[in-house]
Amino acid sequence: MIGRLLPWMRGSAAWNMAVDEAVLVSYSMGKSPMTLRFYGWTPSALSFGCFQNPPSVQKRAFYREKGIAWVKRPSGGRAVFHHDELTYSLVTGARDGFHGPVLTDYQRIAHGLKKGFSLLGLQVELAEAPQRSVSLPSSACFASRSWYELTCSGRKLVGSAQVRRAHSLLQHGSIPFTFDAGVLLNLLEDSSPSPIEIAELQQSIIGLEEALGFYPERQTIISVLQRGLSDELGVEWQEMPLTAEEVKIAQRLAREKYANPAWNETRGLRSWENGVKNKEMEVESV
Amino acid sequence: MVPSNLKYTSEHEWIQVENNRVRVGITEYAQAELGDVVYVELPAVNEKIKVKAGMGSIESVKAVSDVYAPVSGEIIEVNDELQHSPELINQDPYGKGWIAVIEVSNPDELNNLLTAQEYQELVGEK
Repeated sequence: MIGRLLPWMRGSAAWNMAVDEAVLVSYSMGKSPMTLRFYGWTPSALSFGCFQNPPSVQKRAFYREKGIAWVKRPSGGRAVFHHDELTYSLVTGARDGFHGPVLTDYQRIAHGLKKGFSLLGLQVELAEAPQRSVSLPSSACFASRSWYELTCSGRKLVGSAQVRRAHSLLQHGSIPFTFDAGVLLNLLEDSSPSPIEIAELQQSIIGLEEALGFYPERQTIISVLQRGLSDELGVEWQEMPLTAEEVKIAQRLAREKYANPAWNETRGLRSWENGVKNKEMEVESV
Repeated sequence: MVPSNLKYTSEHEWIQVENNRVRVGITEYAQAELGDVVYVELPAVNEKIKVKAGMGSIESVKAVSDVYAPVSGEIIEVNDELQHSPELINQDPYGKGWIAVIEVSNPDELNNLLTAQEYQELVGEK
């Protein structure tokens, strides 16, 4: 089976989410193949799960002051700080053998990533049971560990989430190269985190540099992960760009959805979808 | 076994027809596919919906999935219990885990729903 590997790209928070969704839309219409993508964020950004409460006005001002962008993802889960990390996304679905259940599909992808890390000699495990810190804030993605999360020495190495639509799925996730719990907690919490909170979060997460004992080249990580996924999923990756139609969809999504306060500043999916629906009905009635 | 008194969709929703209204939820098969449900986003009461359009979302431990309207109509009741206890979808999908009641605007659409036997065959193949 042939899959598409998109060239590495670094984009804004809105663009990154728009491209992920555009590929999902195109795949679900049968116009794009299974697609693997690795990307970075410029400027550094926080991404929030679609059912999280959006950051407060004060926090947004704080992000502006620090030059940090933020966006609401189409996927669930909790907040991720995309800074000194690698983000991956995989779009696939039932026609490529991903029929569900959710955890089974998730496990297959996790096995592929695990195989990739093993090519670097990294011992990675798949968490077998949900585990959540008692004292850590609930808003940080890496503060909890659930089924088939990738861990190294018992510490979370990759945080991932899925969106499933029309027999298709998008799974994206963040792989930190380095991780600073104090920075993340200061970005997410209204009050200053205690040293205990910082230490606990720091001990629950591991960046690649600490796991490997050296700071890796981004291209090396991309290379081993695509090989691991290729082996596990039986896919041969061919590097191809976005199609013109995907670019068009992504541009529209970036402009109208992911850079739009009506999407980012509300919790959930419904209010934004209904806003779009009402707008379409207005257009129809003109 | 799927309850024989209900209708179904290929998107794994069950539909209980009550005169011109239908009660909707997701099936046992669907809840097992999703895994532990952690959040349910419900449609709004009085919201007009079109068949096969999204009418809500379910967040399970690893994924966000849409819930599709099985028929067109207007939402007249939603299960607010799910806001506080989303796990009811896992525990009792055909009972306390119901999602919404829709007043049907096009009764002909009911003819497109699957019978229990047809749905059983569909999930049996998977």
